[in-house]
Amino acid sequence: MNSPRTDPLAWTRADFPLLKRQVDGHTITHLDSASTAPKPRCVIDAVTRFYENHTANVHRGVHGLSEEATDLFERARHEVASFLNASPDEIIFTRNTTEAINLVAHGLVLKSDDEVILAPSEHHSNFMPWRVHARVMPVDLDSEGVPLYDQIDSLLSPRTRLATIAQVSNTLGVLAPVEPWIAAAHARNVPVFLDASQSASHIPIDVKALDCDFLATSGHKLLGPSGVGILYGKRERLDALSLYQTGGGMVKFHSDDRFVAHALPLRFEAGTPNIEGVIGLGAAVAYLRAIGMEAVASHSFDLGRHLVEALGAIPEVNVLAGSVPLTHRIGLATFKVETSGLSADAVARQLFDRHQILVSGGYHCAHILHHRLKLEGTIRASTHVFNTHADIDRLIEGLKDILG
Amino acid sequence: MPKTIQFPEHPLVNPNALDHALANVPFYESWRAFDPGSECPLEQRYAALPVLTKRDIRAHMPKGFVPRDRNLKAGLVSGEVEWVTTSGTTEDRSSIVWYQPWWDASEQAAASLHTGLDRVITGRQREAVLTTPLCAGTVCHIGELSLEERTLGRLLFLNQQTDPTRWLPHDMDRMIHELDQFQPDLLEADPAYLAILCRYAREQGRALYQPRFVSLTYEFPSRLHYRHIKPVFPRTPILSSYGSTETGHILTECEHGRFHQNTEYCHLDFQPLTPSLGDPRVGRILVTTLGNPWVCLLRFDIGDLIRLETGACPCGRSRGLTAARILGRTRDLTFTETGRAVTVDDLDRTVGEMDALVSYQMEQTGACDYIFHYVASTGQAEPKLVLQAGLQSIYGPGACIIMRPEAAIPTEPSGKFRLARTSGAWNHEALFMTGEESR
Repeated sequence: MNSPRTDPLAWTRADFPLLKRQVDGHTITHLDSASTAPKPRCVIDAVTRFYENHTANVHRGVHGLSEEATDLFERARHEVASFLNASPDEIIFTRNTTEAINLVAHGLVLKSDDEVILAPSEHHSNFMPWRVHARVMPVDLDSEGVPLYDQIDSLLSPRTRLATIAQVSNTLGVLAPVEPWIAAAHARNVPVFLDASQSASHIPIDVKALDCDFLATSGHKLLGPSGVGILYGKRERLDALSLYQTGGGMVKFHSDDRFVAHALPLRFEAGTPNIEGVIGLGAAVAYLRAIGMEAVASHSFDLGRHLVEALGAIPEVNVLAGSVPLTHRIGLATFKVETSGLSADAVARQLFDRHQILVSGGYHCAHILHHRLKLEGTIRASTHVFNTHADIDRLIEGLKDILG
Repeated sequence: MPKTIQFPEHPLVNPNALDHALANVPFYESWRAFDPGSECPLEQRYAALPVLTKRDIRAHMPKGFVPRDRNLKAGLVSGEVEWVTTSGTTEDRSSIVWYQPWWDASEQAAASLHTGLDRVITGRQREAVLTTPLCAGTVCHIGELSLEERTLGRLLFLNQQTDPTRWLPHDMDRMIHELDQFQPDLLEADPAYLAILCRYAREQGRALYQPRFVSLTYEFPSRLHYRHIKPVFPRTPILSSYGSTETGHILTECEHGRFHQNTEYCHLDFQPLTPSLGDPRVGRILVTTLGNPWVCLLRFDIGDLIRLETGACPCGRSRGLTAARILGRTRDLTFTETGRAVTVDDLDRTVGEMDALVSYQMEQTGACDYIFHYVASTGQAEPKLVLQAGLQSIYGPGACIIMRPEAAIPTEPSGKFRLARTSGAWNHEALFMTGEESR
């Protein structure tokens, strides 16, 4: 193996209290951030500080604490906007990526014969909403489960209302060729929705450079709290969406005969939002920006390379999309174990019970991908900024012990 | 969900299980130093050994517990053994190597401890199972399996949800219909789950299919459960069967209500509660599995308490240990204001017979502080005052007991119910005397 063994972000480990957690007397090894990530101290403190010092509603109070809460909330929006290179008005806070996708799927007022192009490897969240609102037009998968992205050209039709893709597959860990996908769709005036749930923690995202029309991600994978997500949309695209939810907070004027909704972004944030969640997310994004997303990406690619190479060296392990170049993978690998009698669930459980290593075992909300590849569950290991090569070595040793 | 395999020839029970385990099973290498030697009585040798915990199993299964002469990899590949995960009744979930023929043989031997049951448990009996689905499959695939997917040969798994308090009428109608269609010889049920189904059937005026036996297992059968179950099975014998995924069938309730040890398949040590805590006839059992060629457990703390039967059982069975009652989980002990232990059965004896109660859970939040969560029957007098008086008689006049009516008592992550719990941490091992009886 030629993997460099430097861990330039190892210093961040001290910022994550969860990494000190012990189970059965041993410190855990966390390789499950694709599911949900541990939180750095600054996020925990931001949420706690809000509860202790600023608890109040936003955008509606006239007392000082409400103004403080609103200020913290909107600063978080600015932080997120800077993170994505968007305008703050183009950032909608949702509950999670799923809600962001549903907001757009609902807002486009799709008809049942309208078509949405996607990949069958998508997470349920970026498949089900389109399936419910329209007709999905999936590209094919190759024998390793990698979408045949080029097929978008042949699927685009006058009925196509949207093309969507995960920037990084939550199961394969592979970077999608987003730019040509967007270019192909835009050439036919079709908007593009990017699911950045996995990518936002691992690579820099510039929505203007990408020229995507919508993009969504979840706070809890970005080191932030659960229950808060981000929807980015180009202003004109968001303005064209029908209202998703109505109620307090999104309405500027309401009389017996009419109402006027707020302008962006509040028109899509009905009801009291997850204030502390947004503030915590702002702190998480600030933390990642302070590290530098270029450094984060370099680290992720480095760990991804180590992960795939080391897993590939175990004869009984088969990495999904294993032939995809290592330069196209983040620090996430999903694999199956060829030993009969050991399910993915069983391996994942043994890794935890015997080695205190946290990974995911199952279908990773990508049932169609698994069904097409005839896989009864897989195991997914995923990294974040705090992981080191030693974490991956522990995983490999644990696997060898279980399979040996 | 274990596969259905017909009974093959069962390997001979190793008469020297202890010597075999100490010599051939990797985990027990470090235990050899505790063994006073084969010249000592067997009971003394067992009593000298440490206690095997679920944590040990989690950390060292499978390699630590599979005898050296067994090739686990080959066994898994050939399908002779499977890797299964427990539901996590007493602690976190853990995984074990499952050898179906041994389990079946253990079940058949346990059935011989109740007259008539052995004629039902033949290895060919049709069996409906009503319990948490957590033992089956990966977490994201729990729920909504077809009848075909839930029928494995002679076994039908009725339930698909981890919380039966959330069953809807159509879920229970389906189960009633499937029982009618499947016509099982044996209904093996978690008593809490079956009580909910029976209560619904009675409310709807529906009859449940009458199998030849109802076996209550998986968790402590409360008097509350029996009150709902018995009227629905007026002609069917109902018995309690005790064991675990790790240990096989340990104790079977005989026709006189005592629990007899399945001596061919397990050795039991009994560790009484320390005298300051409670009755010395109450204690935990430590299980040594016998005859399983794939996994050997020595003195495994199964996590439950029993009350020893000191007299002779009218059924005439006298081999091994006889328990007067199973008393519930050790971790569900609560304590009186003077520090005496209160078993789940102690609590249940006081509140479980009340008609006005649907379900309950006692929560101890401090040395003398308690919250009693309960669901009252509709149309009955509010039971609060009667309950409070009964609970004060258990925990003491100075106990501060808050009575809290609930819409429902939820299940644990394991899909099972807890009738009592404590918030505080206590030293589990300090509860028991080390001088013990061995059977």
